[in-house]
Amino acid sequence: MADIGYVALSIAFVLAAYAAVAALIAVRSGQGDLWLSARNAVWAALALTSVASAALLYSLATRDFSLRYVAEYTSRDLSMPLTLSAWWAGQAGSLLFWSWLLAVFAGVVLIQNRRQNRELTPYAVAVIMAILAFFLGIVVFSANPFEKLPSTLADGLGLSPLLQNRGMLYHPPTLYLGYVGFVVPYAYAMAALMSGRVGNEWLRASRRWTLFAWLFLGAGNLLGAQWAYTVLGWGGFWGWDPVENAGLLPWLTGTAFLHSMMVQQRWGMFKVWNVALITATFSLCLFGTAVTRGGILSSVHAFSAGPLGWALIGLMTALLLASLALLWKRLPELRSEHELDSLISRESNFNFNNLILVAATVAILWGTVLPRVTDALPGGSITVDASFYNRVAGPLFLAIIVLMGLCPLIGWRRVSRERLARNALLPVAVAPIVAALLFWQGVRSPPALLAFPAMAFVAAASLQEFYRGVRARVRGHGDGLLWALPRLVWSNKPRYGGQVVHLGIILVAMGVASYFMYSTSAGGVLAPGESLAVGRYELTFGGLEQRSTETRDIVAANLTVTRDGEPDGAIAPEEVLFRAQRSVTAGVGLRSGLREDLYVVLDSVGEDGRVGIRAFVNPMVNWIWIGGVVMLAGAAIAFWPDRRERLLAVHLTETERRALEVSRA
Amino acid sequence: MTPVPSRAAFFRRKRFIIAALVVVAAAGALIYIGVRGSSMYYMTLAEMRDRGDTVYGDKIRLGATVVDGSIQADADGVTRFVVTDGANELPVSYAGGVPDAFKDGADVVLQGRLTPSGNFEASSLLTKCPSKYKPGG
Repeated sequence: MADIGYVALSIAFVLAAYAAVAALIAVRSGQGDLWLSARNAVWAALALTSVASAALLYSLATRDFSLRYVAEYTSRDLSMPLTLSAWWAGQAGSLLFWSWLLAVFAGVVLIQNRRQNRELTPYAVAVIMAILAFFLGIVVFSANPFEKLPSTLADGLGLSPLLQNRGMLYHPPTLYLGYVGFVVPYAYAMAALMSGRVGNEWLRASRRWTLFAWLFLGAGNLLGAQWAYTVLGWGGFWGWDPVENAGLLPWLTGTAFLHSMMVQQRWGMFKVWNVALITATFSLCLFGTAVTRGGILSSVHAFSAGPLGWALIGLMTALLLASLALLWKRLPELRSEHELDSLISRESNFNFNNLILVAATVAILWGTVLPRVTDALPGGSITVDASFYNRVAGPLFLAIIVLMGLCPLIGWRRVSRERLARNALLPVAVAPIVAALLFWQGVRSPPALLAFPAMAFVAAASLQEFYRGVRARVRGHGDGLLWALPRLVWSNKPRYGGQVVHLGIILVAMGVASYFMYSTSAGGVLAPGESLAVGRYELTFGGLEQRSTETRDIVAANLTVTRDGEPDGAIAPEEVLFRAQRSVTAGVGLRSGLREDLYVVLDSVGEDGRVGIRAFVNPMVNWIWIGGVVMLAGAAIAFWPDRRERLLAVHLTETERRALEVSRA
Repeated sequence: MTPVPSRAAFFRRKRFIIAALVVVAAAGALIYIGVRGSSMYYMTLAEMRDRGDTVYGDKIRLGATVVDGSIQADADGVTRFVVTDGANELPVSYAGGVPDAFKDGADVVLQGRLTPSGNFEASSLLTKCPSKYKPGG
């Protein structure tokens, strides 16, 4: 089985390289048969990477410990779903997974563009296949998941206990779908530059893919945060670790791109910026993969150092240089068709949200690579701690949120003062009311008095947009109240899907801000009968309880809880010993509510029966996950095929297209 | 050729350039202040030793390995242990919860200050799994 897998990968590598070259020559020279041959090579590469993936999954499922990869990441006592998840758990396997996704996406691109974007698609496919060839090259020549051990082992070493969690089943693949998904918009941007068709075609071909990648990257980050929160036991969900930052960076530039592409589609502005932005986004995806997989930065996630990280950084640099050269060559054709002429207009708003998103990206990237950059300095390299990111990213994110609230209040091009005043009246009035309420409730910290009213303003502006739309439908179409809202959303999915995403972001921001400003914690060593106070809770240690499962020994500390002096149930944080790995992990005692979470960790169990306990009261963390679901729903609405989009695909003159785009405002 | 912009267009553009410059300057200032306020040296034990007396009071991030058998948890919740880089050793005290992977021989990243008495007072402690995706001991 393993031999089949390796042979399949080797042939796939050759075919991917061939497809890239053939597609390029075919479109340059107009040879239809060569393009057909390139397409067939894409399908063959997809089939072969699928065979290789199936072979790896088969080897994992049958626990073939003659393979180094299987032996290093799994063991007999590992459950079947986790065993199969080793496909993406280790380095070699995850590169195969990356390659397979890329091949699948190439196939989808071919199917989607059978009858459209004929001039661009061969170029885009060439770019995708060249990147695929690079990844398959690494797999074939340096990180082979089918490498054999000198002799078959009786049992594998097993997966690291921290990863033995259901998060392993969905966090990495979700993130990878996002990382790999950004290949397609990038490939179409390069196709536009290479072919000289620098109009809006490449944006139309990329919009869906951008949304798709953005959605999965965002979901992957949130799933990672939730996993860290519920499993790692340090009380938080985001530590500004390089690996976490690496997932956030392309999401930020991707967000900027989603907005600026709208401006180009409608008004023919920001053309150079859009190409630069998607290039930066994809480069950051490669950077993210390198950080996650290559161990080029010192991180608590540091997986394994090796040449892979530098190979990926090399690819990133090469692609960046090639993209810049192409961009330079096409610069005269990318002249803006309009100028920004009103500061208070949607395109101006997007202009500034882009600037701030990119500034936040630069700041976070700078903090992340600073230790590397200053490595050569005498006296040790310079690093920043979490407070840097909170200080820098906090104000920038707040500014973006305020811009988000202004967006539905102003239209494209120009807005009259009267209209702006009418639109802004209610949302602007909401902010001081919320501030006053918070003050009355005893909130005194200036950041909180600034941030929460700003969020209320955005939510009000967004909800007002829905309210007005519904009112217009009830009056105009005679819709019933119940159906007016879904019909409204369905009538213009990109617009209202976007607004739903904004509402989701506000919920996430609310949870994040509350957590960072108001999380409290306490810790101590308790003998039976002693208690620990945290926030309005008091935890009293009752005693220890031990139990064992097939693979683990578990010690639980039983704590009774009182809230404001009233009995409020019990909570039992655990210490879990994985016998095979002789490794201890915490089982967090978590009671989760909409208002706050009580989060208790068992740090240590003494010989004398005393326990070290740490407890956190984390306000509103659940709203982060709820907001995440709302964001996903909004992105899915925006992703759904729209009637107007189908119209755009048929033959229209550029002017008619623009008119249709503008009507989608 | 670019057409000569009208006076009004010039002022419109100037407004944008000024607004954009304000945004960029504000972001730059935030980054500058942030780096100044939150940066610290990431050192090895040898590098810290080379700095001599000048390190007292500076916030430092230190990468080192926990010496086997040196971990003691005091009743007051303070954990004391010794770290090494193979050649130098340094006693550390840390008040706070320790992560799961904190044990003998673990690679740790400490953040804190060196006191003149030669004790490192850590305010944060992170363990570095040498390869998280590879089975640890």
